[in-house]
Amino acid sequence: MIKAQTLTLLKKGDPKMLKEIYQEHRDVFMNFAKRYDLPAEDIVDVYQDVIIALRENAIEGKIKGETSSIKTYLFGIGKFMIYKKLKASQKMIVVEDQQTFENINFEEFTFDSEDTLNHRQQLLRSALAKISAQCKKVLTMFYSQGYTIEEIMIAEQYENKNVVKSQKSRCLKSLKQLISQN
Amino acid sequence: MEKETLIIKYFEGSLTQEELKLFEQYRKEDTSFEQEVLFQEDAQKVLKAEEKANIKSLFNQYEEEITNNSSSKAKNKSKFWLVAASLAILIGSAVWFSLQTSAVSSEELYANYFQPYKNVVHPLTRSVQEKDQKTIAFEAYENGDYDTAAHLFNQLFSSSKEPYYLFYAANSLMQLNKMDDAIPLLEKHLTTQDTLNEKSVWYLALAYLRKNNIKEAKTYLNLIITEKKYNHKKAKELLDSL
Repeated sequence: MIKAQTLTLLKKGDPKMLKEIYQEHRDVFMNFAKRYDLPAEDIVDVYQDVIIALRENAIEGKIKGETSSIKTYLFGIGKFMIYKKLKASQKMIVVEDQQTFENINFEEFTFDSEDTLNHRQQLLRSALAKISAQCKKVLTMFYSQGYTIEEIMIAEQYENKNVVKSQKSRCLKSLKQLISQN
Repeated sequence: MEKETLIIKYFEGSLTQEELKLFEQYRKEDTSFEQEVLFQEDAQKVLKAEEKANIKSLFNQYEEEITNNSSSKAKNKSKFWLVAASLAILIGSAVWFSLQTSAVSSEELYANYFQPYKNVVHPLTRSVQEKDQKTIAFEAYENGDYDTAAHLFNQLFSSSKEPYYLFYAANSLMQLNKMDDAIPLLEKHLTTQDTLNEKSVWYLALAYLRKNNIKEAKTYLNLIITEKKYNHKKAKELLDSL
């Protein structure tokens, strides 16, 4: 069971919640991962990516809080990521039973999204550094944290959804202008 | 439905099948619509990567805290060793103290068992008017003037080389609690053929006991017991109480 509030804070990237999750499961995870032929620093890296993937999947609505615990998801994602790493380093040829873990189909999960930015995206990143804090916040909430327009309205106390939509549109427009100025 | 709403629903993941069809159609047919979707997808990718990088740096911060904590635990471990060392000192002191206590009991044991060996060499007769040095020495010895006795016995040994002077000199010195002076005399006495020399083993055991050198004391006591020398019953008794 995962509380709705935990999922909300996780999606939001709340530092306190992230820290809580990170610290609570770290030692058990490291212990579990020890059985695989991976250096300790790689295991730490995998663990961090596992929590990031957990968050991304929570944002995408793939985490079902009512049926499983955070630990189940972390270990499922972790197992998946370790297999992927071992396979990449050709340390593991036959991978068995990796599709499911505690009845969760991780095949549908998002793992390790590609972070390399192309030229257009790099221009966008510079422009994002120049927009107002409120714009950045709304855009981050909508595009990165999985908030719907309605959820942003509630969380940020906007009068109605149209105000949020207009705000978002203005922010995107500013971004475009900043990019075109370059 | 407005094109803008369609794009919003796409990012919210709430497009219905029909809306999705329409969305795909617009993407193919409307270049500006496609450009807008691509722009927002880029914005999403950049914002996600940025957040991910921020979270990753947060995690590295947590990791650092954990490492620092474990190194402070290591410091605590050294604190533990400090405490352990202090405890060891305390325990050591206690053991030392108890050894001191046992030194007291060695002392007590010594006092219980030590008696200067009686004068069997030179029976004194009160009627003798002219006293020779030997008589004066044994008189001093019998009267408890051990300082004089020790001094005279030493002189007498030097001049006569009679081994029993060594034995009585050592006995006098033991009475004066001068074990370090007594022991070499007893050991020297042991190398002689004197009839009293087996008694020297007993006195050596006592001298070492008084010095709290239990190991040496036990060695001599065992020797007495196995060879059934002088005072072997007392030696057994004493050994058992050590």
